Amino acid sequence: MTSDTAGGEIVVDKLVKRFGSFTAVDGISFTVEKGSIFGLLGPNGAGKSTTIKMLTCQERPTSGRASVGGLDIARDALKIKQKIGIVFEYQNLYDELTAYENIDFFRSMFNADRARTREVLKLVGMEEHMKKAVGKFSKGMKQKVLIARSLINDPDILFLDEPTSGLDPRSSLDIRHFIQRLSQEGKTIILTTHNMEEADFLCHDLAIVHKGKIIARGTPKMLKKQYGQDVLKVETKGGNVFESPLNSRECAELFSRLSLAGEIFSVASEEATLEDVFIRLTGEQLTNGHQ
Amino acid sequence: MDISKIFKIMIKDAKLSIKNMSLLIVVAIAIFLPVMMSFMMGSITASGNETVSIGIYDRGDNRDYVEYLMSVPLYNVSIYGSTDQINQSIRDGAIVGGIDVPAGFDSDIAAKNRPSLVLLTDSTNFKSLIFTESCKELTLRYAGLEYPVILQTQSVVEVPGGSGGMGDAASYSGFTAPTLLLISIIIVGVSVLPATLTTEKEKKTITALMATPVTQMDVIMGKSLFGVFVTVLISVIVLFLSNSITGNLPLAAVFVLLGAVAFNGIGLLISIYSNSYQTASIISSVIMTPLMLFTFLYTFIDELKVVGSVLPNVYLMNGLNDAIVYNKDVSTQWVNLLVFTAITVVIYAVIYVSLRRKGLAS
Repeated sequence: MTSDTAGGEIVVDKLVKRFGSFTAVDGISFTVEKGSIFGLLGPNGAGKSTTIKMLTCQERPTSGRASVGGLDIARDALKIKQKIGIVFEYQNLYDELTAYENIDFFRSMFNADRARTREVLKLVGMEEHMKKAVGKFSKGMKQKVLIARSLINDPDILFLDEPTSGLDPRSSLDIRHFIQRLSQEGKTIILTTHNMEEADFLCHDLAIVHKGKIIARGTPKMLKKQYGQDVLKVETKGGNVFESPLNSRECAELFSRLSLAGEIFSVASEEATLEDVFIRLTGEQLTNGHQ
Repeated sequence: MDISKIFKIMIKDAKLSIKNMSLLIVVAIAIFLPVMMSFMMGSITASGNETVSIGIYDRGDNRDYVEYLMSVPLYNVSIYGSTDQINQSIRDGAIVGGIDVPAGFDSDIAAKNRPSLVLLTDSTNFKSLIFTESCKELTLRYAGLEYPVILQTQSVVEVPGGSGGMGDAASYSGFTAPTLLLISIIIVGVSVLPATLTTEKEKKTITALMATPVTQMDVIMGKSLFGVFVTVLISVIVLFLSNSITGNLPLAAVFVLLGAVAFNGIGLLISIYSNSYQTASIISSVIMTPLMLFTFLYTFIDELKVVGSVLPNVYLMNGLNDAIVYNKDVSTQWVNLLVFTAITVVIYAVIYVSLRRKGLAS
């Protein structure tokens, strides 16, 4: 391991995954501290999910090394699986089985205590629906069952792959608060998302992934400060809106010109977003990866 | 390998199959098959257009019974002077069966005794089986059900692929039971695993399962165990429905189990290379249809017999035939058992290589 990746609950060192001639993950390295929420941010196809698949021992890396909870992903797959929980980007539940049957089957795969099934369903607020077939649930309810399933073995590390994708705002918010709660309980969380608001809201630390590589790394605040630009927005009495980078000469000139003319109706400053950071770094939109 | 997890995977598959009705469909097919066969048989028997040529050797004065049979439109009756002559005519294909009527048969019936009657048949000939079944029915009707006749059947022609000998001949149900069993084993064996495994692939539940501390081998074993269990269960139902709990049942059980393992192996192989249930169904049909057709036809069409010598289902069919119809001892079945076991081992060797190359969840 290099000095950049030493220590930490998850240590990734020059991890590569190739599918034929296509390189999905191109030598990424990072460390995740215990108890933190670490975000892998990037558009679809950036390599986030492939990275998660390697860290959760679903895919073998082409080269490079990684350890999860101090265990080597190449050698200790079964032990790692015992320590982690995963919420997949798709809602892969047995639709014909009830919520209880779904969770209880996975509980038995971990040899966990039988009482744990009801406990995790209660934790996500699904206890009253546990005898209903999952196929009849809404997307938000299914997502809660998926989170309950990921917690069945009381994992130290949770991998959440697009946990709020396709959910309504209310369900998304519920799940984000739940993720925060899990983090406060000391669980290490790896979150992949292309939702920059979510990343900003949840993550203590972020890596922006683009074409299989990490192109920026830091806290959301740090990344916005380093790569983003706050903006001054001035609205005139005539209804025109002028924008200018905050604290720039251009901004000062704009403000004094409009102020002297008595044209200013309102003034506001707008903070840079992670989307701005991403566009600045890649020249692409974060949500769809288009130029 | 974790036995407890293997059983839990098997039970989960059973629950899912019951809830999504797929098990019901498989059971329905297994029940439908014998009913369909009986219906076909009944249709042929009832049809006025079809006649079967038979011979009668009357050892004594049984004019009433002989005339009764001659009046049946289904039969084209010839009178013979000995059973040897009847046997020879059956072998020559001139007639499909014969009746050896003992002296005093009519008077025994009149005296409400239980006379014996020997039916001479060709168990390789479908028309001979029509004769056997219809003759039993007609004779019991003639005698009155309160005083049934003791009927014995005796085949005078060897069953192709059987171990030979002129043992007790097959009844209709005895004749068809191995065929029905084989068809059930092929259908169920080749269908169950593609249904469960490709559905898990499509819904990506297999990914969730493989993310738990369970090995690929545990999953394969759990699913295969469920497939083998269903196949054996359906085989038992078919055996009951075809009223053929006869012969060397432990030997038949060995062949059923071996067949279930082999054809579930083929089903597993299909599942490994199919990413959707639809693809798996098409591949299963492409494999099942010729195997089943072959099973139906190979005893009747000489040209197919050469091909049959290299197909696994023929060895299974021979084993089931010898066990159920001919009540053969296991000591006569080593070739069938060894060849079939070898084929099963080859199937699982291919599965092993495929899993190493492709994996279960891909």
